Amino acid sequence: MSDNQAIPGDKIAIIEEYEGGKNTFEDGHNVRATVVGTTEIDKKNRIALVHNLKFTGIPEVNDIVVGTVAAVMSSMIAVSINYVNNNRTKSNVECICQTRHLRKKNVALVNDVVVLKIIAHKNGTIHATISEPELGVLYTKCKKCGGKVIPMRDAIKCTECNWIDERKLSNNFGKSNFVKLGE
Amino acid sequence: MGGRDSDLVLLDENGIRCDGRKVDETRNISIKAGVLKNANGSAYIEFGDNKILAGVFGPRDVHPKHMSDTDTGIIRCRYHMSPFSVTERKNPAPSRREIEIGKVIKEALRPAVMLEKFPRTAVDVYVEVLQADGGTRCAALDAASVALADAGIPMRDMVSACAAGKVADTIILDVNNEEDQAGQADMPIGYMPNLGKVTLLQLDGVLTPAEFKKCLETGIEGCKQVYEIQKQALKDKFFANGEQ
Repeated sequence: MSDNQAIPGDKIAIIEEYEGGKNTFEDGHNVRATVVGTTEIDKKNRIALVHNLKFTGIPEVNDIVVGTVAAVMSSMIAVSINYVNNNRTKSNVECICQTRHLRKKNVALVNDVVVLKIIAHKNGTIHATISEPELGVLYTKCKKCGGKVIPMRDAIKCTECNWIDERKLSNNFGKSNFVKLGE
Repeated sequence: MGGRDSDLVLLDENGIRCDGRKVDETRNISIKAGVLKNANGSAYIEFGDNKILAGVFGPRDVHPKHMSDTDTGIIRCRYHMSPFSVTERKNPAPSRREIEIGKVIKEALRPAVMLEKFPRTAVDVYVEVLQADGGTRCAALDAASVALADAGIPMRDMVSACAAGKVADTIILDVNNEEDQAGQADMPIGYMPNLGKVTLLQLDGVLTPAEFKKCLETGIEGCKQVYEIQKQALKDKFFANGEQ
């Protein structure tokens, strides 16, 4: 293998010289690659890492995900992830998002398409946040008649039955290029 | 064990085996990674006359949900022999042997795959034997390991597998079907070549402690040869033509 190519198990550095970064592990003596990819040796920060050439479909911290709301509870929503950083994933993993602090009756409802940011992997669960302007509902329908809705400041209004409902809307509501997963 | 087929000469006086190989020679091995479009990772292996396809899906959500583990991911393996893989039609329903080999492959891969990075998810490995000629569990494990790497699933090391055995009181490398049927012992070995750890060790037959040691060393040498071919298969898939 040439200098910057690695497959799982390949030694990429020794632990006295470098710390293991992304996609590496330390076996007690060496930093080894865990995936097929290209290695990067950060001499300034003394970190050796590997860039994975394959996307596993599981989001990492700070990734932006788009998904469908699978369940709504009193203080959180569960979202089934469909896109991670604009890449389609079929892993169908779920993340949870706290909504207690938003003080809204409906932050999102089941089958709404939402955009979230991953904040942590804790206790085997993926945690996400919706509390940024570009995060929130990307696509929804009227819960009364199923008709199209238009955004109002912090709410949506049905164009057919004029029902007004609360949602935490994203800045990109109605502008998104994503496939309308809820349809 | 030993000498069931009296007409077959497993090892002649020149140390040449029934298929023309030397005692420390493997069959021809070729591996191709990334052969299936719909799987997350896949590999096809030809190990002598064995032809095996492996596909990997995941990490993905676990169904049924109660099988999921909150602390780590799980790995599941289905080993299946096609009805046309052997000379007489094999019933396609999963047999006791297939279930056992699926379990053995799963347990041989588990030390290598870093499942703790994906809690509550499953990695599914599907192995389909298209043609069998002895040593399918080792060949399947080799293909499954390449398929896992092809899927981008983090692994501590590749798992390479090769069998060693005993025929005519001689330790041989890479046991074929005739040697498996009529030989004195068969020892499939799974090995992580960079870490120097054995993940699979089975023994069918009787060996003395000295023979056991030699058989293990011979098998590990075979695993190292297989590892070079696995490495080349991944290199061809990911780094061919300067493509990265």
